[in-house]
Amino acid sequence: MALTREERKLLHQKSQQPTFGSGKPDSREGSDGDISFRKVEGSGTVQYLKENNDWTAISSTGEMPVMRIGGGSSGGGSSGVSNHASLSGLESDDHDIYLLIDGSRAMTGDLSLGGGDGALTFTVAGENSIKIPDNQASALIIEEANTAYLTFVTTNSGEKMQFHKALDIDAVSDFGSNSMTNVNIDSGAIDGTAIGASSQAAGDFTAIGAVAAGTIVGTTIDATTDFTIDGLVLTADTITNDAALTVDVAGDIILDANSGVTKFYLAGDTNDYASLTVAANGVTTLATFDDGGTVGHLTLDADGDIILDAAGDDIYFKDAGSERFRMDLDDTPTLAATGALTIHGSSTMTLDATSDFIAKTNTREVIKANTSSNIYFHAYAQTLFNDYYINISASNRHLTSGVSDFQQNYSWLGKHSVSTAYNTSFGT
Amino acid sequence: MGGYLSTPLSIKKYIKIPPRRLISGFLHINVISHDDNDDKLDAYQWYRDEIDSHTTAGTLASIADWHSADPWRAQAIGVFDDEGRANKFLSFGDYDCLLFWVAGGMTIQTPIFTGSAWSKAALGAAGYTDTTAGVWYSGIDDYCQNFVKYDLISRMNNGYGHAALMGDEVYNGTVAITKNEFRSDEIGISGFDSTSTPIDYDTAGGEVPNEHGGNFQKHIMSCGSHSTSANTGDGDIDLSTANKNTFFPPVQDVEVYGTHRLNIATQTNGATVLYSISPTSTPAGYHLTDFWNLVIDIKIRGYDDSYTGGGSSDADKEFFKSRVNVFFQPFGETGNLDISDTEHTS
Repeated sequence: MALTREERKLLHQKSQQPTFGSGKPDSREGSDGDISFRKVEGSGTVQYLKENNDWTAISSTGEMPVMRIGGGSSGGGSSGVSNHASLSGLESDDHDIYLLIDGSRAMTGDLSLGGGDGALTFTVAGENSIKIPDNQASALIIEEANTAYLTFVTTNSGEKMQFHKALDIDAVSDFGSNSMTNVNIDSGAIDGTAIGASSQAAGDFTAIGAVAAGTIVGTTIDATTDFTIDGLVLTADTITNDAALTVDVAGDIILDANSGVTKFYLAGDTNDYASLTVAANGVTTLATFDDGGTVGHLTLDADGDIILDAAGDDIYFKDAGSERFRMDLDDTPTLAATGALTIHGSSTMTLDATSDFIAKTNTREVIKANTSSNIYFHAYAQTLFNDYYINISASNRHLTSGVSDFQQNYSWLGKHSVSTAYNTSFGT
Repeated sequence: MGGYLSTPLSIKKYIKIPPRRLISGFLHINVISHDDNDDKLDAYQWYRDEIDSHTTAGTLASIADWHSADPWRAQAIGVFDDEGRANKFLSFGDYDCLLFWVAGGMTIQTPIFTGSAWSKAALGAAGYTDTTAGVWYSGIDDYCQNFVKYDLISRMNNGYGHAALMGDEVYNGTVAITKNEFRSDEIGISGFDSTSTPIDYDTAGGEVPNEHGGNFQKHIMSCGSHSTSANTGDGDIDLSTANKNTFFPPVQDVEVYGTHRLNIATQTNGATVLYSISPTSTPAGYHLTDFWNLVIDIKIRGYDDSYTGGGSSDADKEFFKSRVNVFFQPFGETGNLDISDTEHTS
């Protein structure tokens, strides 16, 4: 683990290594005999020596006052060289505690810069670089305290830069003509407003893919021409596909057309089609349109039951708008036909009632058969000791049977009358 | 006042039939005293008791209309036996049931006119009122023919005892229906009429016994009646005996015949009568050829309630309220039949 700044400072002090900083050191820091190089505005780099629990400036890179001799009494009267130009032996470099301006002496400790605008400035024209060691998992860490922001990894075959904080690019980034490859977004999401909304450029995404299921989240994906996915093409007003198209959603599929009309074409034939029309209050019409007007058949083909459930009681069957059948679905269902009705069976036809079977004409009962096999014609209503198997309520013309005119005709005619003129006193 | 009634009440049923279709079938006619049949005395007993009570009270004149008609003939109470059926409420016994065999049909054809139809000008010149051209003729013959025949097969009622045993000829309590019957033998059809002197078979040289026939009268009949006697509670009147069959059969006669719709209109200028079946003036003339009416005329005994004296007397009231049921079962060349209480006119 790297040492903290305070730890490095203590280590310097304990090893009698000079310390660095800016401004005059605090008297509470260090011990007598410590040396500290401080960058002092107007004086350049000043060398301080702590003695008697206080720091004394003993040299500087700027214009220096008369040089003080450390450890001497302030009341002494000796004199010395006070002009730096008068010093000799400056090139002897017999103290390796200094950095050499030609950069030939490597620093053995950490470098702490005072900071500020241009604290580290390269001035050589041409290439400037900061070199980091090879094959290191953390060749260089730019951090705040121990919180890394950017890490340079030089591990062989794993070289990379790791951004540990959000990357805020507030200017238009231009990769020039270079490809941006091997960009692995392995978590999170791409979030924004529009891709290409503010600065559009010609060119195509060759592919947007993922090695595993992923998500594209956004507000608007705006294509100036088409979206094409394999054979699927999304244009401004059309989705086409060169194969079967599956719409598989976990929730509802909603088609919202302001006209209320949804049309279904066959191979682009706009003259022959089916439509689903939704009007106010959910009134819906499923219709077919045949350009010839004759064979636009509609087939409901179910492997199971076909259920028509109308809360309005009635289900209608119409011919070109004219009602032909009405199925009244209340608790006494009725099948009403408009027009002559024929029930045609290609084989045996059975009408099976668990109770009475009644045939009517114009609401008047004509035939009734009960579950005891008694048959009643014309609403025969007499109460008998026991019902006959055939009972006919008839007046005047009771029965006729025959082949045709002139052949085998047999009829029953009856007439009943009561006298109207009689002795009303009779029997009184 | 009343008296013998030459014209009884008539209840007719009309059956509409196409022409030239031969049919035959049974005709049932049931007539019964009808006033719920539960609280009335039988007619003979009630009327006899009425005569008795009014005779006693001297008020017979108040019921003179029916009393003076058949069968009472304004006779005194002594003529009529008391059958002892007071309070028995046996009006149901006053019924008549008849079974006929009816056969035949009717041909209808357009009338044959004499001469040519008059023109409008000729009619006008001759001074006729209706000058419709082409419909008026000087003569007309209608050859439509009714071929309906009928035979009374049987008749059942409870009144034959009046004629058989009571001996009260004055009381015409029964009316026979004439049955036309001719019987043949090896010699041929004989034509002896029952209204003539009966044949004396015992006289030497008399008629051959098996030669007989003519108009026989079918009196009120009761065949095979069996009384269960009073012990069973089924009735103390033994209807198997003639003298107990003294109820009131309401039917006086039945006629069955065919008729067609015909009205020949006439007009005259004072000298020559012209005939038409399709004039534009009234009365309308007509002659329908697509159907005819089989008429079942049931004559019910009655009295003249509105008789004011003089001349013939026609019955206008029945002695009691009756109910008639007619049932006809024709078999033959048509089933195109329609029955009604009134004549079919179209």
